[in-house]
Amino acid sequence: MTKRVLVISHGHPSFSLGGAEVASYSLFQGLSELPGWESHYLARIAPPVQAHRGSNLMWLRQKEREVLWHANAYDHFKCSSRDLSGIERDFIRYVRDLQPDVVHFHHFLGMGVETIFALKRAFPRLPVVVTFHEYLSICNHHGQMVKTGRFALCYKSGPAECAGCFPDIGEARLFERELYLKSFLGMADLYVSPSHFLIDRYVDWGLPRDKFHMIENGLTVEGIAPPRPLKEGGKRNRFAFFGQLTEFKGAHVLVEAVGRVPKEVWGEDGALAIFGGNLERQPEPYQKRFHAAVEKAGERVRFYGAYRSPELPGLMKDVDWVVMPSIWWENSPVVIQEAFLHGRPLLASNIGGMAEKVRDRVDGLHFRAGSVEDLVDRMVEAIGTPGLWDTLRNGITQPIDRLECARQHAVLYDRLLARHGGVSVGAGALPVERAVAGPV
Amino acid sequence: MKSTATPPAAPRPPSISTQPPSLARIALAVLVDEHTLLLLGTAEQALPAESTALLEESGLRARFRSLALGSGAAPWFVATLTAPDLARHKTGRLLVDLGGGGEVALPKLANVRLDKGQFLEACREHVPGALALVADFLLAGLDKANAPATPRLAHLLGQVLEAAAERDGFGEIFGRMGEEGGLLLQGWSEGLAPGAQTLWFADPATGLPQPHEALVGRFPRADLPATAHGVVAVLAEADLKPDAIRRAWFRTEAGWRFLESFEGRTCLADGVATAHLRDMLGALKGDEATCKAIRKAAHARFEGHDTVARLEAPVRMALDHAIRVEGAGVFVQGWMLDPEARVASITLRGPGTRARVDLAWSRTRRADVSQAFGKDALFTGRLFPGLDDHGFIAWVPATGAQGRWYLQLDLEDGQVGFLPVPAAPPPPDLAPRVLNALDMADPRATTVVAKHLGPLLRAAGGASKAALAPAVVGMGGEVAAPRVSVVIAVAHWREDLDLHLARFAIDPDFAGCEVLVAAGPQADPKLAGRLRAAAQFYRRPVRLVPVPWARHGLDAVAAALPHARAPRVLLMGAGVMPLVPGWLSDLELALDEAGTGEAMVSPTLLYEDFSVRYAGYRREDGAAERPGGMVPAYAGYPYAWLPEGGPREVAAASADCVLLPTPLALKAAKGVGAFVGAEAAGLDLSFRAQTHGARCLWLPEVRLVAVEEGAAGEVPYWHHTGALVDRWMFETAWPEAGRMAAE
Repeated sequence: MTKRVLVISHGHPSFSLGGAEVASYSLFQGLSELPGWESHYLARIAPPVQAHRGSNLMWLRQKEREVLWHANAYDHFKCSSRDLSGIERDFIRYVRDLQPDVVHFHHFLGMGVETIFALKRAFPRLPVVVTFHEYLSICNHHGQMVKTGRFALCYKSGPAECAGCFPDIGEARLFERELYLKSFLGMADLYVSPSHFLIDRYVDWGLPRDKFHMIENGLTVEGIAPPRPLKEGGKRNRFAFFGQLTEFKGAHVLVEAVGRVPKEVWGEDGALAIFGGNLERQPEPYQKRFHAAVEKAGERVRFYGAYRSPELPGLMKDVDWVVMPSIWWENSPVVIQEAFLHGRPLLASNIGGMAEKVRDRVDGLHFRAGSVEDLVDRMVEAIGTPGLWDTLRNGITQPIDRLECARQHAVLYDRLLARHGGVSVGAGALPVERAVAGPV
Repeated sequence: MKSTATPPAAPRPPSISTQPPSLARIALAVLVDEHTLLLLGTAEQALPAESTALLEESGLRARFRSLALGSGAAPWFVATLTAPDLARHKTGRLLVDLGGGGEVALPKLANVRLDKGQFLEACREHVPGALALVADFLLAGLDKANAPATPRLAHLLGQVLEAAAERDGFGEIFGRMGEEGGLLLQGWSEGLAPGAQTLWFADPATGLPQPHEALVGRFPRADLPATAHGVVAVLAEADLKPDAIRRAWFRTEAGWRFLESFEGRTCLADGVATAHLRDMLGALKGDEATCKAIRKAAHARFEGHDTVARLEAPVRMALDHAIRVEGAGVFVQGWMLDPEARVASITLRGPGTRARVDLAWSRTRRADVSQAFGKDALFTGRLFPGLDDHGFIAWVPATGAQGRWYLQLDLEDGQVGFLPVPAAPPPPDLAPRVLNALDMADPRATTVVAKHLGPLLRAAGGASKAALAPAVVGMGGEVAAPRVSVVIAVAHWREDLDLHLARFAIDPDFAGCEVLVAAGPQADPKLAGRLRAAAQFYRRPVRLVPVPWARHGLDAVAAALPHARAPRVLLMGAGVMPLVPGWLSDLELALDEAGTGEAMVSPTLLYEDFSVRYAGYRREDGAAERPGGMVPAYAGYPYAWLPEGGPREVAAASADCVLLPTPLALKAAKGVGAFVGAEAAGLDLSFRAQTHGARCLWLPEVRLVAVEEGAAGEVPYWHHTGALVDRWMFETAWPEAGRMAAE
């Protein structure tokens, strides 16, 4: 009997190309390819797309088994829906009609954490899985776990600590936020995280460790780029940055470092290729700082703009090293997996998900997060150490693809279903009764 | 009906023969009304002016008054005997207490008459020259009686006065001098002397003669014989209708006289009388003191506007606040500049009210007033740096009705100034308004609280709210017979109760509970809409009770309580956040097991950092700054400090989260609205509950978080001053608590 999974995302990759959106979509695709499983995809959509008058559910000519939910009434502070009736009117109606065996949230952003409650009330025995892609529940600062103002790393979330970042909000409201989110997250049956680091953070925050499982995001493989061919005496001096040009991603650290690598080390054909955009959306001081660094680095830095996944093999073929200079913790950046997929060692900040996913001197090099000087040293080492690139390339473990990712999820789903007697507990078969949640 | 009589003593046994022989004769005994017996007779022994007398047959002890109407061996006397329901008692002989153990016996009252006219006839027969004394005696008795006169007594008095008095002249011009009273009477008389006199007028309703103080002046009139004078009388406080006046009686050395209202008299329109009097001033003759007093009376009439600003003396005054609490008093706050102490008295005047403000007020520092008038020519050289006590604050008890209120300033030199008091009902933001003006650094602050702000806020917070009925808005369905009514107070900015309703929805304990949301004035306007959406979403029966006049959360709760339908209520502040399901049943169980008598049960409350917010109260020495010395136990300690185990009896429950029987809650919440802040009000709730036999229980092992509501950051100043008021109010209401803490 085919088991049905509903994957829920806060955005559809066709409209919002973020890591969590891509990961959720990959899982949806992977499950579709897995025998015995059938997957459906519900993604939130928001303006500029306009909702229909008759229904907030829409299709927008996506693929079969995909549906979009227009949800725009949202309280970012509490991750809370401002349209609670819409949850029942649109979301629960859809789930009731779909009758999934498992519902898997990859985010509740924009839809409201109350969606979990609504599901559990309407279908008390329906397993609900939540994947965490960042620290949004823990951290009101865009889920970055970085202090406001000076962008120092944050090591602990709590009303008092958070009030330091948000004195105008105050401890009481921050506590309320925490308790509010825990009230709903506590109702999920399992949590999935693509990194152990993130699990530790959420466990520190108060979620039970035994509900957590680490599963890497699965990649959709579009082809593998071969190593960049070197001329006789050539250097592995081509670096690349993939990602948004936000301050958190630390591209400015990288550009400043590139400008300081000695000319004789850098070589005549050395280059830093930046694949990413949105600098113009960043605060003006950051833009100025970034431009100043670029000016100093001169022709060493080349901008290629934003990219899409299918383009990656073509982009990677001219790259030796991928640099991940984020000054925030990250979780399990898809850039790391993509670099590994193409056999490119990484230079990565030595914190959080990056330090976990990139093994220092096994498949990449760590440098002190935010430290231009340390990054310069590692770049000099990377370019100047004969055989290092090959050694690290050989140390790379291939990341899982979406099918393997789906398999690992399917194991979890089966375990959850087994708790309910090993039978399908599709929504249509469930009596509507009062939900009873466990303790926060 | 009140009486001055002492309780009836046991009748004396007739065998006792120690009574004195009767040396008196009663010519007439008239039962004036059921409480009063009037006697006319002779006595060989002087009778006491004031004493008691025993009615020998019934054993009743009655009040006895007498007046000798002549001299000689057995002079005539008039006497009254007063006791409640005197008419129902047998009289027999009267044993009048002479003091020091002595008694005088009056003979048995054999033939008590009911016809009052016979008394007058007997007086005319036996003491024709002493009618004035009889009238004096009866009128003086009126003054001393605690009980209102009956119509029969009023009629008798009128008859006696009529018989005793002779016409002495006429009243020709009458007029009311202002809205707040005052009467001008002009006419002619032979015997009405100038100066301060007492004029008696019959009360239009009862006919009873009533005295009124009058200033009488004389002026020459060519149309009168040489023995007569034109007279003008100013009755500053009299509230009489000119067209109802028939006679004005007055006492002269020669006897009672009256001015008869002239048939064609002139009744001046309201307000014209004062102008007429001012026109008369130049014609007044006689002693300067009287003329001056009348001149002052002519000018000392409030005409609706500020005349202090026009005083020639260096005196200025203004009001910042003027608030009248119906049936309780008037609060005035402002400043008065009087650097040379020219003002002799300041009187608050209004309907039925005349109260000295300057004897009651507290002065406060107002450097801004010094600064503002520093360059005013009137005050140049009269204001000195550092001497800034120009402010004043006063609560004046007054039950007067709505009407014209003003301050009257009487200066030493006879000038009078008036300042309108635009006394408004207490505004919703009364507390912050008046409390922000209190200077806590001023050593007089506690006095100001005790004498003025406390009584004001208590009066304003208590009485007026009783008539206000909240409009209840239902949403999210209903529970047929709720087990518990959860009453949540929203006293501060808050646009939703999503968390609470979500937690109730996932907690089986809250099945069968209804939710009442008592929304105070600071609740966000979006609250109703958000609440409706959440109530529907979480299937919670919610009723919103807007209480825009509430001072604090518990005040709002008190207004919502009458709408609770369950036998028990759970009072919750919006800042209380349940951590785990199942806690309500713990509270219910504790209440079930509380044994005989009533109880109220609170869980442990923690701050968001899990330090203790509530774990019972205890009284502590050295905590004088807290209401009644009541200190939250373990407050601020890590919760690991808390003991384990079952319910413990504590001095007070926490009104932030407490389960109690609904009838008890209704009784206990009676006084919370008077307090400025919720904490003292919460203590009051517990104390009041304890007076109804309830015990306060705390459950150490049931723990919830209760964050402090309100905007983060500095506490508003008026909260600090409000705490002073609350402390005073609490300790006034519960003096035992304060004393125990002090001890």
